[in-house]
Amino acid sequence: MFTNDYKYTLLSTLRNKRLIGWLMIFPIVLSILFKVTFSGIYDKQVSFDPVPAAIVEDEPNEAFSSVIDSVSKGENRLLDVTYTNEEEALELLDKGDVFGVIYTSDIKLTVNGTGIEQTILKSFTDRYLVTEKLLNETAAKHPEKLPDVIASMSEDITVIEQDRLSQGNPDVYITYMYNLIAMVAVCSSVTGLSTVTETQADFSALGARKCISPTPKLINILAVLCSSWTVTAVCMMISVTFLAFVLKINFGTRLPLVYLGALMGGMTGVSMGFTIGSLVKGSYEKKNTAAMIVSLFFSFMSGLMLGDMKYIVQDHIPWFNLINPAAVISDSFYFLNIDEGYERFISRLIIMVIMIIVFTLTGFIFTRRKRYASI
Amino acid sequence: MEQTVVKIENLVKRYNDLIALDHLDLTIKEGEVYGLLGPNGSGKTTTMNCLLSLLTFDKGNIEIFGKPMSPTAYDIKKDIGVIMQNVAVYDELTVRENIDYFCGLYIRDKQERRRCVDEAIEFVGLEDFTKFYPKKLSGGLLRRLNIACGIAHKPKLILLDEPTVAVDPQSRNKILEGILQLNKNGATIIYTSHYMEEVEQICTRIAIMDKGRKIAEGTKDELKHMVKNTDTITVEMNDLPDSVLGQLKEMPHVYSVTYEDGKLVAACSGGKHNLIRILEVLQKNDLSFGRVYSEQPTLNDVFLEITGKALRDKED
Ligand SMILES: Nc1ncnc2c1ncn2[C@@H]1O[C@H](COP(=O)(O)OP(=O)(O)O)[C@@H](O)[C@H]1O
Ligand SMILES: [Mg+2]
Repeated sequence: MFTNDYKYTLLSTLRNKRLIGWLMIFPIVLSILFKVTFSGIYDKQVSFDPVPAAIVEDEPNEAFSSVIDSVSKGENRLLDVTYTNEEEALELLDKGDVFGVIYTSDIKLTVNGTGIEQTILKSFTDRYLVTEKLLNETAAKHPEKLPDVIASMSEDITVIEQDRLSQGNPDVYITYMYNLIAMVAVCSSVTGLSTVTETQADFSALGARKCISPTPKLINILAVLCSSWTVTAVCMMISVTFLAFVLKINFGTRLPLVYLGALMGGMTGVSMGFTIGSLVKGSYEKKNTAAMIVSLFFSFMSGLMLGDMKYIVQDHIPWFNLINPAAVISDSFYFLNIDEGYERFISRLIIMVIMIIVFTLTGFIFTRRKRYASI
Repeated sequence: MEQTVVKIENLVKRYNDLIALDHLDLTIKEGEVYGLLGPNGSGKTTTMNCLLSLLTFDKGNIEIFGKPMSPTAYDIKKDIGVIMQNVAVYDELTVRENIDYFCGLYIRDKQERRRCVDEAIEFVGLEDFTKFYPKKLSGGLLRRLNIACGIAHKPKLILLDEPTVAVDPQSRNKILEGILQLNKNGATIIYTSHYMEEVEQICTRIAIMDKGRKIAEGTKDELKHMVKNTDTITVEMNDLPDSVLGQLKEMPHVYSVTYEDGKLVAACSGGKHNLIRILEVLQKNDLSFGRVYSEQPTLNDVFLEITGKALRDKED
């Protein structure tokens, strides 16, 4: 009974060209749009070029100079330095030719704006100050060991920065892509509506025909729900694949888990649609509009349209990020990328499972009624 | 003794203030082709939906195959086939897939199901269209698909709710023949319609409904007897002065006279001499007339007699 039911509802959904078209075109067009809008920022971040900086030698500093020498040489150099006087240095900074000015006397750093380059300069000077004593002592007592110490220090900085890039890229662009996947997932709620519209006698003649058959209603609903889940799962896989392999978005080293998160997210969205469909009475258009509004609201609150939204929510109503499916889904990707461990990723998956269960149960409770007052 | 297949007792169904079914009683025996005849809005569909446990009702008792009907009475449901008023098929499934899908809600065994689906396709004559999507079918073929979806599992009780609405005459005849064939194969049929000709043509017993009540029940002959010896006499003539029309109206036994489009129509009751006496009046006034014929009462006359209004809306 179930297999037959599932097979044909799946077939009919897959053949629904309009629905499938939307489910596919929507994330693809949006992601291309994002890619075009943010690609400038993005390219700089991944290519990791040496950072241009001006050095003002207001006081000779032998240890610092040798460190600068060693980090501005070679293929993987950290900095491109220009030695100059203060006036000229600040002019370069204003023109944007350099990202920062470093004074040798007290290793003071002056930067203009915030960005990854400025961050690199900052961590470089911070790192230097921390190890300055060690460097000075080495220079005084064991000058022959100085190159080793410098090498290890510059390596440290490079590693820190590269870690940030490969394992986690907490920057605007990639965050938008996470939000985009989350939005596609919650918008699958529209697919989930069919769980109600195709099974309820008071909604469609199709539903009536199923209700009068000897197949229990639960099985009919479950069959449509499972086929919606399946269709959405396929669409989520395609979306992530498109982002990762066609747009070449760097999801880091945990791509399979990104797929898992997307899959669970899609299921969450469909189940949410089931609940919305069962709660909102009236025509398909009404249910559809409700599902779209709810999905877009959640997406908005998770930062899809306004990058900072999630942090604003985090500051004022932090619990909302835990019950907003879009935020939970995008956070799962985010944590997957920035965390070394899996705790927060797994916790988000668990929240999704809970949401799926709650949404599905709510849907069942509101559709289980066996007789209708009016058809 | 024939078994009772459907028993509806004292059924009351309200939609808010509107009483859609008003203490309705129906008893349908095995092997009958039972007609529910009534104008639009008389409660036929509501009766069907209550019978199928789709609707809640305010009062009453419904038994099918001698057992109380409920939404979870799956052993009853498996033997019922329904052809809804609205076509209910998946647009994205082909003719064959649709029939197989709905048949699958009743029959699990794959081989048995394939046989049933084949037979249903043959029965409605859709062999050449098995790979068509519903959108590509004409109205009549779509109705036939709708029927095939409802009867593929070989139900013992078949409910048809206005299956011939908006169907061309050829498809309509095919559908009516099919219904009789299903009945011959052993199924009990409940057929609702507001077309009295169809009901007269195929039903063995008829209930006439109006405003949620059963106002008459019986075979078509029994029903016609209810309107005593009513005759409708039609006389074709070119001219009829109002004075003569007045004279005709005053005749005993004649209760309605109209003259329209060159036709004099007089509804009379009682006696065989009505025709002769009408013609006498016409001759006395020196009026010439053409064809004259007299008709037996129709179910419309029955309805008219009981409710004082015509069964069908003018536009039908
Ligand atoms: N869902 C509903 N809500 C309110 N009134 C309804 C509803 N369905 C039917 N009715 C009313 O109930 C009466 C019977 O309708 P119905 O059973 O559809 O008649 P029929 O099938 O004989 O045309 C009509 O007056 C109709 O307007
Ligand atoms: Mg009706």
